[in-house]
Order: sequence, then C-alpha cells, then structure tokens
Amino acid sequence: MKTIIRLIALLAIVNCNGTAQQKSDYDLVQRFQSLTKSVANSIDQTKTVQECAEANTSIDAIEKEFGDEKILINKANYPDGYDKTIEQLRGKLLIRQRDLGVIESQIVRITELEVKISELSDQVKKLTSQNETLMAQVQQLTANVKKLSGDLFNAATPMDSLRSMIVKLRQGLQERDALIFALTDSLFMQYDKNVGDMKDVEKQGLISKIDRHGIIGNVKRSIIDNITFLESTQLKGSDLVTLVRQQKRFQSQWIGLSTKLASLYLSGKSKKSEVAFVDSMLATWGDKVDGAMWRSLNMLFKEKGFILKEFKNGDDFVMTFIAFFDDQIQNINKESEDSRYKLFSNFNESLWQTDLKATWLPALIELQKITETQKKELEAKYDRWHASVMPGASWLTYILIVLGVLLIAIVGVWIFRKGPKTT
Amino acid sequence: MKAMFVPIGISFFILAGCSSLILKPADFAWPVESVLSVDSQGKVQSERYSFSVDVKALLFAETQDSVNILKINLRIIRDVKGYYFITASQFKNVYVFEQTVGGLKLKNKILVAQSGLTEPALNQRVPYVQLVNGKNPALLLTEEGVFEGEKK
Repeated sequence: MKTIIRLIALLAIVNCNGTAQQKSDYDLVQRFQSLTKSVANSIDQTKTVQECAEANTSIDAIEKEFGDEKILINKANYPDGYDKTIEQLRGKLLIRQRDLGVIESQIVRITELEVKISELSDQVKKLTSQNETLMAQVQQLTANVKKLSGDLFNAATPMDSLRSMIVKLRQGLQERDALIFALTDSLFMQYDKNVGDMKDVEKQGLISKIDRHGIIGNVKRSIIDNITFLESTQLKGSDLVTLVRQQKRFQSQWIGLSTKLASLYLSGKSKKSEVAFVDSMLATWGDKVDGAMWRSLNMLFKEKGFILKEFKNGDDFVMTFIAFFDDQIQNINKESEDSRYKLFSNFNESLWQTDLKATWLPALIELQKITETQKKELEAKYDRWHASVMPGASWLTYILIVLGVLLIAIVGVWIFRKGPKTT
Repeated sequence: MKAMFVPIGISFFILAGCSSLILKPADFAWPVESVLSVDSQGKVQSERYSFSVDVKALLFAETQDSVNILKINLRIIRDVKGYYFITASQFKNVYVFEQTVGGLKLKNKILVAQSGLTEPALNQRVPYVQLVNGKNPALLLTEEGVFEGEKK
C-alpha cells in the first residue's frame, strides 16, 4: 500500500515536471511578500478614489496570481500566511476609503475601468511586439523580392506571402492605434470630469497613469511604425488611400487627446514640448502619406499611357486633369476622329471607369483633397470629351437601323414568295 | 523466595528505564527553503527556525576555500524525516545532514552538477526534496540520493 501511495505521489510530481519549468517556491513566496508589502505601502499613501481603486485592483491581481499557491503560502509566509495577509490588505484599504470618504460604488466602477485599462495595456504591448516581428519580416521579404525582380509589386513576382504579410501588418498597426486611444479614453473616464474641474492631486494621479502606460510614447511609436510601414511597403492605389484614411483618423483622435493633455500639462514645459513634438511627427506622417498618394496617382496616369503634368495636391490635380480634358476636347493635336475615339475608349475603359470613378475620386472627396464641385467639374469635362469624340454616333445608328429593317424585309419577302408547299 | 524477588524487581526497573521512547510519526518538513548568508564567522543563522550553525567545514569541503565565504548564500531545507539538504550556487553537490548532539552530521553527499549549479533552489515535495536548477530538468532527492531524473 505504501509503495502504491509513493508511486502515485511520484507520478503527480513527475507530471508536474513534464508540463512546465519548475520554479522556486522560495522565490514565489518572496514575490508574494514583496508585492503585498508594496500594496500595503501604497494604501497608506492613497489620496483619491482612483488610487483606492488602483490598490483594489492590485489586491485582485495578487489574488489572481497567487490564489493557486494558497496552501504553500499559508505555510511558508510566516506568521500570517496567505488568507490573513489578503484579509489585512482589504481591511487596510477599507479603513483608508472610509477616511477619504470614498463611496463603494465609485470604487467598483473605477476598478472595472482599471481592469479594462490593464487588459488594453497588455494588448498594446502584445501587438507592439507582434507588429515588430511582422515589420522585420516584411522588410526582409521586400528586400528579397527586390533582389529577385528589381521592381517591387511587379505582377510577375511571387509576392502572395508578402502581400498577406503586409495586410496583416497594416491591420496590426490599425488595431494598435485604436487600442492606444481606447486605453487613453478609459484613463480619462476614470475621473469622470473635465480636466479643468480636477483637483491637483487627481491631475497628478492621471499624469502618473498616462506616464505609466506610456501613452505619449505609444502614440510616437505608432507614428514611427506607420511611417516605416509606408516607406517599407511602397503601396499603391486603394491600399494607399486606406493609409491616408488611417492617418486622418489618427490625427483627429490625437487632436482630441492633445487638447486634454495640454490642459493637464499646464505647468510642465517638457511634457508640453512632447505634445508639440507629436504634432510635428503627425504632420510629417501626413506629408509623407499624402506625397505617396499623389505620386501613386501620377504613376497611375503614366502607367496607363496618359501624360499629365505632375500634380502634388488636390487643386493641382483638378487643374491638370481639366487641362488634359480641354486638350482632348479641342483636339489640339489635330488627330483623326478614329484615333481620338480609340484614345477616349482606352481612357474610359482602363482608367476612368476602373480606377478614377470607382476608387480615386470618391476617396479624394472623402479625404477632403478635392471638393464635390471639383468632382462634378471633372465629370462634366469627361462628358464633353465623350460627346466630342462620337459626333457620328447618331447617323451611324440610323444607318444600322435602316440596314436592319431592310434585312428583315428581304427575309420576309423571300419567305412569302416561296409560299406554302403544295403536295 | 523473598531473596529471589528483590533482585528480579530491581532488574525490571533498571531495564524499563533504559528502553528508548520514540514519538512517531513526526513531520519535520519546512514548507520552503531558507536562503541564508554566511557571515564573517562562517556561520549561518535562521530567524524563522531559530538555529545557527557553523558551515566553514562544508564550504571547505565543496570549494576547498573556507576564507572567501562572505558572498555565499546557502539554500537549506529540511525534509519530512528531518534531514537537512544544503546547497548553493556553483556547488556541485547537495549535502544531506542529520541532526546530532550540538551539530549536523553528514549523511550523504549527492553529486548533482559536474560543472556546478547555476540557479539552484530546493522545493519541498513530500516525501522528496526537489532540486531546481534554472532551465535544467528538476531532480527529486532523498537522503539516499537522486530519486528521479538523471545526474548531470
């Protein structure tokens, strides 16, 4: 019987050995002691409801981390064990809350937000590391493709994996950007009031949380990553439009946040300059992504065989495009009707319908690069060019109709003349 | 008859007084190891278990040096039977001691790492003592030696 018990005990221990790297019980107990001591100290120093909620979350986190080791800690953490230590922390916090006049429901709401903040913060860290790996892979693969083909995004090069990786990275970057602003929102929501109405101690608390979660650092990192992505991938067309959209969204979110940060950092010069630095980084990102977009649109015309004067902004683009339409309408090169018609058809099928009308013009309006009136102006010019290259369309149609009627008549007469068969 | 009864009675009382009294079962297991620094006198002292012991001889046995002893942290745990298991970083062996009058007496010396332990830790895994050493597989020890796993 003793042997069986020994064997079962051994199996259980061996099983544990196989599943994970063994840790030192001593280290675990030391960590428990150090964390509980630090939370106890922070409870002594709490001054606001948010700090109480933070302490509450810390106790929850300790319970979550060490709950499974309760038996060991009860024996090893002399003399209070696990249960009594946690109980003492909760009691200490309750007394502190009473001293500060904090209402329990406030704590619950803020604690929930604190949990959310902690989760969001973890997700940001995870995504940062994932994106870092993906970025390195994209850069490596891009370099390989460049070596092979000498021309990025050439249809002949095998780039499926690179494309899917780029899409994944773009999604990762967007997700991370969204998470940072969600995290920031949750931080401000904990205080449930405008920055101007906060007490100094609350402002300090919020500033320290913003610093702890590295909000400004994360925003900077996002901008840098997005610029690196833009420069590494050399995207075109609708992909670029998506990036411009992303930049605009980020910018509008940052404007909302920077206003709040500016009122928080009223006295701190270095912090204020950091906010201004982010503004300038964001402007650089905007310039780069805009530049890439216009370059891509210029390239599109060139690739389809239409030579336009280079344009660098919306007004420039509309002006150049209208000049192109006018040249075609007025036929300044004195081309034959046939070649004019062919040129128009080519433009219509390979550029206007497929790219400009479907993607670019709506996107340029959405991104406020051109106005609705400018778009209508371009469409009107297009219609005029269309009409100008097909003046014979009506008489050609009449001839075809007459020919068709004649053909039907001839066939009818021929059938009638044959008459019914007689036997 | 009376003359015979008296010596027999005396012998009975003498024998009863000499027989050993054993208290069983006993559990001497410490829940976690103690990590104790060697002081300038070559002693380690545990506040929790209220004992101190001179370890110069042990350090000399392991390192051949009983002078440079100040930075050594000994890891000590007592198993369920009452044996003391002692090791430290850079040690090749785990030493098993049993309590004796006024000291500890070596019971066994278990070779566990030819090139020395890097991050040793002793865990209580009744009826064994588990030796953890960084990412290396953990070993289960008894006073007799390694019970599970292979010696390095």
